[in-house]
Amino acid sequence: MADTRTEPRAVTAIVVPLLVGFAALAALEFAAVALVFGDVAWRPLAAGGVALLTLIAAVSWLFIRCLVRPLDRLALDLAIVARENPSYALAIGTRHWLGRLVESIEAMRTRLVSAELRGAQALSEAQQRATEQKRWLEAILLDLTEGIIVCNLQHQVLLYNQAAAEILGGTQSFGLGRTIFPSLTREPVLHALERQIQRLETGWAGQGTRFMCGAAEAQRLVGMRLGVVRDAAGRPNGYVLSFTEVGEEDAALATRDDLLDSATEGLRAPIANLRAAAETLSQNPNLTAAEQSAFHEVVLSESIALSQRLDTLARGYRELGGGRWMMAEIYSSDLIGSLKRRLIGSPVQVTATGLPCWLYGDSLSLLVLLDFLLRQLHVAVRVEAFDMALHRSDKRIYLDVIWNGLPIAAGELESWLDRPLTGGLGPLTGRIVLRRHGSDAWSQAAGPDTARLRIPLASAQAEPARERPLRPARPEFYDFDLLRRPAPAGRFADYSLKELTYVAFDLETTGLMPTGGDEVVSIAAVRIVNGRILTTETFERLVNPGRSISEASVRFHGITNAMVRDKPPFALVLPAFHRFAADAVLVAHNAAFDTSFLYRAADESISFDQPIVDTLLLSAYLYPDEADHSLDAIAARFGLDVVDRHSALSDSLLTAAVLLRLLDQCERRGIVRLDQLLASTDMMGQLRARQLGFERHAAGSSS
Amino acid sequence: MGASILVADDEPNIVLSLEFLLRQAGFRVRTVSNGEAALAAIAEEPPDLVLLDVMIPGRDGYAVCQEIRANPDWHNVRVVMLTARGGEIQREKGLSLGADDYVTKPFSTRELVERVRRILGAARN
Repeated sequence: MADTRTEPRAVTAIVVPLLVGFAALAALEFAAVALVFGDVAWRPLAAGGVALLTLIAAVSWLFIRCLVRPLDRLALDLAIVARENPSYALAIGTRHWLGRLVESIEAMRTRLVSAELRGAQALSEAQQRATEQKRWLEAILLDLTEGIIVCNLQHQVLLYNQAAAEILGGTQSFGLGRTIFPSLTREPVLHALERQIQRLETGWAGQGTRFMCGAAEAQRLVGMRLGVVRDAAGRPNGYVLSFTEVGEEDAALATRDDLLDSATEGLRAPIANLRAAAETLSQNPNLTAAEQSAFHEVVLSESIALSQRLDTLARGYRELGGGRWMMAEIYSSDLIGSLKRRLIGSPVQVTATGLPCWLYGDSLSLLVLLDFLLRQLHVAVRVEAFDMALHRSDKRIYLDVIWNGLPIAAGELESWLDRPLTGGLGPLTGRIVLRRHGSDAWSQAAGPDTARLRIPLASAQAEPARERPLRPARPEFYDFDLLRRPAPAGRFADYSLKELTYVAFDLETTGLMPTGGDEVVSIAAVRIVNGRILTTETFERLVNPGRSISEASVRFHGITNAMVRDKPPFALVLPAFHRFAADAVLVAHNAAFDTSFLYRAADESISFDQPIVDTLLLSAYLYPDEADHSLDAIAARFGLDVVDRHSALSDSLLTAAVLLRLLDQCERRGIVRLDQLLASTDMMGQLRARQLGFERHAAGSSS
Repeated sequence: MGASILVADDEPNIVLSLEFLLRQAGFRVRTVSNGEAALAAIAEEPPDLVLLDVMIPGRDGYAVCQEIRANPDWHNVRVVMLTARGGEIQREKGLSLGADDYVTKPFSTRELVERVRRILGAARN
């Protein structure tokens, strides 16, 4: 504070000595003249000098009093106002030459005071509101019987409520800023977080992942829901866990399962015994007395046994509360992907084949079970490479593990299912996991020298896919020069159709005019090797088209301008796709459309010289009587169904599945080599091109 | 001479009725009460048909069924599984492992005898 007072005084310190010095100099000059000349004639001059001196002194005095001192005062006061007290009244008085400067400063000070006052009021109101909201939040959190924990991605607790602390066994090893592990079992939480982040990335924002998890160092079981918290840019930066202890619920559930067993399975046997005995008695009136007595004995003993079972059942149900397992939709690719990650480091290799689909179940327990079964199978059948495929039937989805060799003996499989599983789930056996899913498992031959282990599962009740408008009819582009350009190379001609490697691909674009300036916005592809669609060997990229995407196209494929803004242009994506598709036959539906974009972007360094199979032309060739050869129509005819239609890959997958069905048909008709197939489609293509030409001509002449 | 049937079930009360009714219907009937005994009885003299309870002690019905199907000498043995487990998936499992039919308890004895006749008739044709 000392410097604030010395600084303004520097003005006085400089100005006053200057004025005094100037006056002294003037006085000295006049005095010197008077002394030197000493003449009477100079006296008036000396008197004038004195008068001037007096004037200067007077002016200086006025200057100091009315300007310098008030400035000093003002500087001091402003320092107080600015740094200590805005309400401090300026003590400058009225005798000064500062004029409206003081008024303006006074006005500024008043405004500052009122602004500060308003700020303070707003702050205090905001603080009151915040305190009130905090009280509400605390009351709500306290009132919830559900445990709530908010964590950052380092799994440190940012917020928790009383119920959470109680369920997790107190705050000895749990609290703010501390990690939630091992208060919660690590594996299920990480798995759920990974799944939820995966879902967000694929654009499907569900209501959070539900799962079961061990708590309080695996002493308790909690049913948990995990939701991801995202920052302003949409990146995940934390997560919320809400949970209830399902220890009791779980026990009740097990009891209910047992009760349900005794109600169905347990009652079936005694009723069967009773019914058979009663029917024997009624249908055979000529029984001997001994035979009659034996059957009467059965009727009596089974009736007593039945009444006792019924009593047990009724009592059990009265004592039982509600409760249900926490099941959720699982995307089969997620499940198999997680399984592959779990199996890293083990000799077991898993390849996903076939079309992915949505299952309904508890993903972690299924994952742990599959992991366990694959390791058991590996030891039992001495195979390292397993395929995992999903087959849909009307009622359910079969999850098949397929290997080269013989099926597993039922007795051995049943014994595996009775062993406890490890993996953060408590003492669960495979049988309990299967029962929880209303399922079972068995092994049988799947073809010559191949066997499978089959687990039937429920399909997801509702498709969690994002709404997607119906595909508008894409105009069919028939540019047969494109089809002819890549002549079937010798390297492909040597193999049978089923032995070839294919890459089925699909493009989404800004519009439907490849020659009218439209550009690619996404490209997706999947490899088909030895007749198997390798759902884990896929290619999927968003592309910046360098122009805006029309609204119609956004409605159709769901890719917006914002989504592709920071994506690379097609020219940069193309080399990666080129590598992905190397040594494979390219497959597309209505290939003329997709290949026209490919060829336009290709240059000397990147050329697509492999043959192209168009599933549209192939279908038109094989089924000339069908009118509709759109992908959806062909898929419907084959009973193929891709449930995950929100994924950019879906059309590639569907094209791949359609191709395999069409190749089956080709083989049946004796088309076993690629050159035969290409010759056929080309012929057909020209035919249709002519038809199209006629139609155009007809349309042109009628208008 | 009637076809031979092996009843494999550990519930004496149902065995009593099945044995009686199948004999009435003209079949030759043997009974066993566990999986190992069932396989031994089949090895001794392969029956035309096995009525096989899934939940028998020892090797369960699924394992016995799979063993019957794995042995080419028993190619002609028909298998009808009897079970208190009524789920569709269990039925599918039984048929997948090679059972000719799958009957859920309780059942009409008359219908069961009819089914046995039909399966054996189809086998003969």
